[in-house]
Amino acid sequence: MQVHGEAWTLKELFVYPNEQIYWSVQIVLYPYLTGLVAGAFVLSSLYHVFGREELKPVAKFSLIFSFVLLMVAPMTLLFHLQHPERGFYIFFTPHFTSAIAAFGIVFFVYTMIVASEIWFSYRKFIVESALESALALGKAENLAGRLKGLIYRIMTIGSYDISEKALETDEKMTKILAGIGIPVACFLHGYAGFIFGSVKANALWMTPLMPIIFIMSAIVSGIALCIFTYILIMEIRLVRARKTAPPYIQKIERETDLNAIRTMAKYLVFFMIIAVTLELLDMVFHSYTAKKPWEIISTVIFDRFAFNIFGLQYGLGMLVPFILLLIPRLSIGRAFLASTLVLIGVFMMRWNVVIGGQSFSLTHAGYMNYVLPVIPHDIETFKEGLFGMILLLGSPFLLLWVYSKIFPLFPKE
Amino acid sequence: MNCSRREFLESGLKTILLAGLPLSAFEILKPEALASIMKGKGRRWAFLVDVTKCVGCGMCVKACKLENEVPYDTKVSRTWIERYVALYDGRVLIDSPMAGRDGFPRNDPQGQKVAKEDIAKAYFVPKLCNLCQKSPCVQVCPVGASHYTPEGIVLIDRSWCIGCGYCVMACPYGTR
Repeated sequence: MQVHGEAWTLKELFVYPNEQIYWSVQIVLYPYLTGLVAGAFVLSSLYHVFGREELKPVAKFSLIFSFVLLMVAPMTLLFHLQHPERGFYIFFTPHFTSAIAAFGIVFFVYTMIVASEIWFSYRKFIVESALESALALGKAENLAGRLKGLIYRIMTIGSYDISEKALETDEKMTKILAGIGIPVACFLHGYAGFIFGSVKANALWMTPLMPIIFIMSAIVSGIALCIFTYILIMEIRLVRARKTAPPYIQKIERETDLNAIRTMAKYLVFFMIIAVTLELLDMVFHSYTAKKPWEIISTVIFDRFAFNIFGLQYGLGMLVPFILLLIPRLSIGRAFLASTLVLIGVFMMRWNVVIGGQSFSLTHAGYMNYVLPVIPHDIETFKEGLFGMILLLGSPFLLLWVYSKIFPLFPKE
Repeated sequence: MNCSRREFLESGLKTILLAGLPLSAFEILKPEALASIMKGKGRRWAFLVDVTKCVGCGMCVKACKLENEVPYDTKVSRTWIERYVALYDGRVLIDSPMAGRDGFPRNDPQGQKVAKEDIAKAYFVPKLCNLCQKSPCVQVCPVGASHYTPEGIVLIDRSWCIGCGYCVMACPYGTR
């Protein structure tokens, strides 16, 4: 009989019998996805609250993407829980001395804020589409069209007022909600950092800097994901437009707004500097104070995880994109490459924190290695293996496609 | 509004007193405090282990596993015994095969045979759940499945546990 974690934990030297890599790849994905949620939201707020007009083309898209990611983020927890069917106990019998117990409140508050912000910012479109479908109701229409009309009519919640004054109120509400949303988004993710940073038993996690480190890398990854996906969607549209274009049209330009990408890249670099500074500060602090566990932590950082941390996380994931973004005249291709690398880098950061933090034993005399299950042989190795990871990393893109059928991601004014 | 200094101070004092009243009511109404008022303090158990007397028989591991329904044939156990064999060459061999459940019938620390004359000293160390008074596993449990009994024992309500593993991370002794 195997207990949870035994399937992918390789023990070395002296390790207590109960120690396993209990938090595996899904717990790597959880802070990664909530980080993307917070980052995408902050990006959209840069336009909605701080009025950066250059970001207007991606503001609505990043808001929707934030919502989509928010739907997927708790899935990682359900995949990880040994009793997912009891997961809702967290909402009904929360034990508030636990950092995880706040999850229900933070999650629902944030969902409400993002959902209502989306509603206010799309209200004109929703009402127009609802009216259109109501007019077309008498005509023969296919089922999908009718269903869509029904969705729009439900979404109006009976409010069809799109007078000048009402629209002004909408805009004001969007701004207020985006303003409230920033601290809540930061809280949503900062508290994910708090879950790790407050574990006294783990010397690598235990630091009050953890929530702030998480927030900064969250914003970095969120902006990078929006650049990545924005470019990707525009390329797909270009290919599609070229395929369907009538032969007499000679050239079709891509609609990608380079100015928006350059602005996003600027913010990305700004937040990258803060993120790296904080992460390195944390490491320097650990090594300088060199408390008792530092002996084993240093072997984890500088030996066992050296390639992960300095090669992938800082080298490939921070330094290379940093240089790529700072070279003048940023092109679309270069922005795409840089944002991809940043996404990998932040993923590796989560990996190194979650897996790295569990890779040394409480005995300080042994190690545990995590072997990601690739080919699943039971439900557990599927959920917490490569396929579960790919499933949850891919589903935001699938969901975004579904949402884009209802909300246009890049509406033309 | 007219308000003399005396009136201001008076009403300020009243406000503070009135505000303090419901707060103190909350203090009394805390479930534990209420229970102790109504039932008295009750008995609290302590648990003593003389580790120097351990001979590594493994009976405590068996008992703990059976009593607390920890799967018998797994390597995990809330109670386990470590065997330390310190050699003259400075090496210390530590192991705990099957958590020491079946005792240590063979001379095979870490799978190697050790000659008697090489051993400087050897001893067993039983490790158990410490039933902490302020236990981190109870603190971090998001649903309250890890809990204290009124007698001061730390238990898990298995039917309420969601399996998040936060207690595993929080336990500084590695007993979870």
